[in-house]
This record gives sequence, structure tokens and C-alpha cells, in this order.
Amino acid sequence: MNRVTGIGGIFFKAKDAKALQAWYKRHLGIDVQDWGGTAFLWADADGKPAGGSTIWSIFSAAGDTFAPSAAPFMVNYRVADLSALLTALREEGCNVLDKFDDSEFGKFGWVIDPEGNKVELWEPPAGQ
Amino acid sequence: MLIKTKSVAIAVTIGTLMLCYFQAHGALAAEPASGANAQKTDTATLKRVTGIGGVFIRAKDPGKLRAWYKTHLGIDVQVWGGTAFRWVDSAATPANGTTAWAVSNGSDFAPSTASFMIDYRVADLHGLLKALRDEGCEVLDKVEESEFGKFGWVMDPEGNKVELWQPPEGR
Repeated sequence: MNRVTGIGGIFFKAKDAKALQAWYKRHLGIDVQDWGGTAFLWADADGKPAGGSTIWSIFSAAGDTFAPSAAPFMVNYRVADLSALLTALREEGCNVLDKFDDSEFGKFGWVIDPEGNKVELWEPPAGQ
Repeated sequence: MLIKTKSVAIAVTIGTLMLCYFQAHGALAAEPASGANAQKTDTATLKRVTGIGGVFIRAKDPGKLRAWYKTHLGIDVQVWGGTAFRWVDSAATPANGTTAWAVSNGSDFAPSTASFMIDYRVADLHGLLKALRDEGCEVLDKVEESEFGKFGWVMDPEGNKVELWQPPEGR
């Protein structure tokens, strides 16, 4: 089974999310949106958008998005078939969270790695 | 993008170099050196981060954690401790760039003590490092240049080490 196919996103926490977002916007030129991050479109050899993207975002340290992980970061991995992967991970004894999201942004599931990092698994909508 | 006055001189220098490059490669027709065009070029060449070049995770037991990601998430972990995910287009055909992923003991994250480090793709590393220094950012002295590209580092205000990477041409 084809499992992870790419990096869909990288999220990290800040003590002062607004200030840190502003720093990345000003000094690194990241086009930080109201929701606290941006989507970097993958580009082809000519610099034209190729299809996929990697999301980047800074979260408030007070939030519980990464719970039950205490890590200051979370990586989102693109997967081809989320339901099949979650089934396989459960059968393999991995710590798969019960929560499952399915929206216009795609399907999301989560598993905790052996060092306590929350791993976000994302099956993008078709064509993304 | 907001340009601070003190970085304009550097931006003009970079802009001039970039304009020479594009003209030499025929990508731009010769433009009159009017103020409006010069300003436009400065803004364009101050494009800084263009994408995510890599995500690096610090582990207590890197070997064991890599094995978990290989077994359960199917990540093709190489002997160096990670892999490069090729970007693909909507037909799943490999495109140009890559995003690297690796698990390590994090010794190269120093002086950051964070459990992760992000690598950002940039178009002009030396131009950006100069601008960051002018803006008072904490840029590390070290710069690496090899067949893998050019690397520099800056600390963000919360102590995370930020890796800046200018890939080799065409990557």
C-alpha cells in the first residue's frame, strides 16, 4: 500500500503567535494570511504552480490543536488512501486517534508516533 | 511587501544584479531605467522565502523513530536519516522541487533547543542574509555552499533556528 507521499504541512507553536507571524512576514516575506499561515504552491521547473502545496502555519501555544502531543510542532503528511492507512495502522498496533475529519479540504486522521508527536495524515481532495 | 528604508540600497544592488542576469538570459526585454521600473524590480527581487525545503525532527532515539516512520508510514528513509519527497503535479508526475524530511538527534539545530527545524527555500541566499542583517536579525555567521546548494541560518524571535536554502539551479 502507498502510504505517505509527501509533506502536506508544517505547523508550530509560538508563545506570541501574532508577533512571530509578523516576524516571518516582514523578514522572510511569508504571505501570512488571517488564519495564521500560508500555502506554498509546489512549482515546476518554470516556477509555475504544479498542483500540490505545503501548508505552513504558526499556532498559539495556548491552543490544543496538537493535543495530546506536547511537542511544539506537528507535521502533516499527504497520503493516497486515508481510510485504508488508518485501518492498517490500527492493525499494526499504532496509537490512532478516534477523531476523523472529512470536509471540502480533504480527509484528515491522526496517529501518535512513538516519541509522542502527533502525526497528521491528509488525503487531499482529488486534483490537489 | 514592506521595504524598510535602510534595506533599499541593498535591494537596489540585488535588483541591478538580477536585472543583468535576466537581460543576459533574454528573459526580459531592455527596460528604460525609470524610477517606476526600478521600484518594481526592487520589490520583485526582494521575494524572500518561496517554499518549504524541509522539515527536520529531533528524536530521543532517532534510529527507532526512523524505523517507525518507515514501517508504518511507508517513508523511504535513507541511510542519512531522511528522504526527499518530490513535488508532483495534479497527474502525480514529478515536478521540479523537493521537500526533505529527516529525523536526527538534532545536534545541528543548535543553538536552538526546539524539537524541530524548518528549511525554507529562498531565491537569493546572500541577498537575503544581507537584508536580514541590516534589519537587525540574528543571522549566524556560518554559510555552507556545496553541490546541494547554499545554506544560511537565522534565529527567529522565539529561538527557533531557521534554515535558509538556495537550491542549485533547476532544482
